[in-house]
Amino acid sequence: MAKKQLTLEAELESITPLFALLEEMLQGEEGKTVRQILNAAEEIFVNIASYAYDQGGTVDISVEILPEPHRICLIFQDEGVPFDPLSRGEVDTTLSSAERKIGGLGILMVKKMMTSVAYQWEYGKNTLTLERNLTKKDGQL
Amino acid sequence: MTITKNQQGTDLTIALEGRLDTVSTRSLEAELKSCLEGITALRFDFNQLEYISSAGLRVLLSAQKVMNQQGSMAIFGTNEEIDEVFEMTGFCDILTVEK
Repeated sequence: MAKKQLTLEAELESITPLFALLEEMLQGEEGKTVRQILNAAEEIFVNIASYAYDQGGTVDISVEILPEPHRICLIFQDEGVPFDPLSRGEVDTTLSSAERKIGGLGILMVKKMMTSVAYQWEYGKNTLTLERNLTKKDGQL
Repeated sequence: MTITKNQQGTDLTIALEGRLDTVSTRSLEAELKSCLEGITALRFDFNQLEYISSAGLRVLLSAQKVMNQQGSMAIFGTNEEIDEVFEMTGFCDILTVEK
């Protein structure tokens, strides 16, 4: 099965090759699923680009299509400040617009759009693993 | 992303095309800062919008807060994914989404 890796500068503007790679690897998958995966990948990349490093650094990303169940596995690794995005408290989605606070929404969206999300701190790296089950456009697994 | 504005008196419609991601959200934020003065009805046309990131949601929330003070705000033309994002984040309860 296909596996690709890329290393990007941890800066917001550097995300384009990741979008291109995901679109290439997800060709033939349902449009909605593809857009949700791009959306989740963006949220994670932006978090790393915004908070991991004080003075710049890189993000290693691996993208793999796996069988049984047919799914995509995305791994993000950075050597920035140890931070488990999953440890944040849940956002209160019932508050009114006046009471709503900014922040935490990206991770909430990622958790809801992905089949699984896991964080590990290993070998001095933040490692975030996202998986999303896939269904081919024609409905066949 | 393309931003198209159509103003008639104090009514403003902003049509967004493409992805409202973190980078493109900045242009929308800048536009909104300069164009909301005196507006009493703000409408967002999402017919050509593919998806919205959390950064995009934050800008919509700020616009909603501004419009709460000076008039109304509504969004129309949302696709299924955007509806789901509004649903999962509770934004469906704080924004007016016309169907």
